[in-house]
Amino acid sequence: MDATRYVLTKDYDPFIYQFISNGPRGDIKKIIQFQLIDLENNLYNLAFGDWNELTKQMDDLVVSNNHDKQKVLTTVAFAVKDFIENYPNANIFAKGSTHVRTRVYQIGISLFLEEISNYYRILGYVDDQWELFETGVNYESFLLSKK
Amino acid sequence: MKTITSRNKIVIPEIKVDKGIPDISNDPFFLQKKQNAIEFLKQHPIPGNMLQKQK
Repeated sequence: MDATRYVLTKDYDPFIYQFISNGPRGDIKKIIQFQLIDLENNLYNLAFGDWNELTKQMDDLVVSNNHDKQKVLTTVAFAVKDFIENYPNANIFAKGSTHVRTRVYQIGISLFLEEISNYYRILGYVDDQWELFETGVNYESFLLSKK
Repeated sequence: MKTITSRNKIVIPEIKVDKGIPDISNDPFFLQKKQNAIEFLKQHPIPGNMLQKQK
């Protein structure tokens, strides 16, 4: 993934990553967490959002709009890549908190599909079934794992 | 005769550890995200043959 991305840092907890988005709305701390939801199947949920320095909590449903959507997507993708390298048996589930955000994830996957499909298998959920990801289909959620 | 057969290589991790990351272990946002994912997958389970298994 050669596209521009933000600098990622990790927590001592290996499931948590952070980066700072810069733009017209200032510096916004973004946190990514890989949440173990099924130990038997090594299934993790990709959770991601903005940290509010004032409330000391994550901001729910905020639209930070720092005009850096692609850079943010690339950064999240890099975190996924790093996580899978450390946990090669992981299955990573992702679903946006809104349809719009799910669509953003889809755009991100489509952007990198040619590059990543050599190493990763990507599934999408649509019409009551899981299938191999195809561009142009509006999926409800996604699953990524190493081939 | 002493020969050097290997050199110590220092690998700098591309992603560094940051002590300043907030504690999100009980953050309601992340807890809700996890619960939402669990609920979705309960209703729309992934077939076993589509999951990456232990190698």
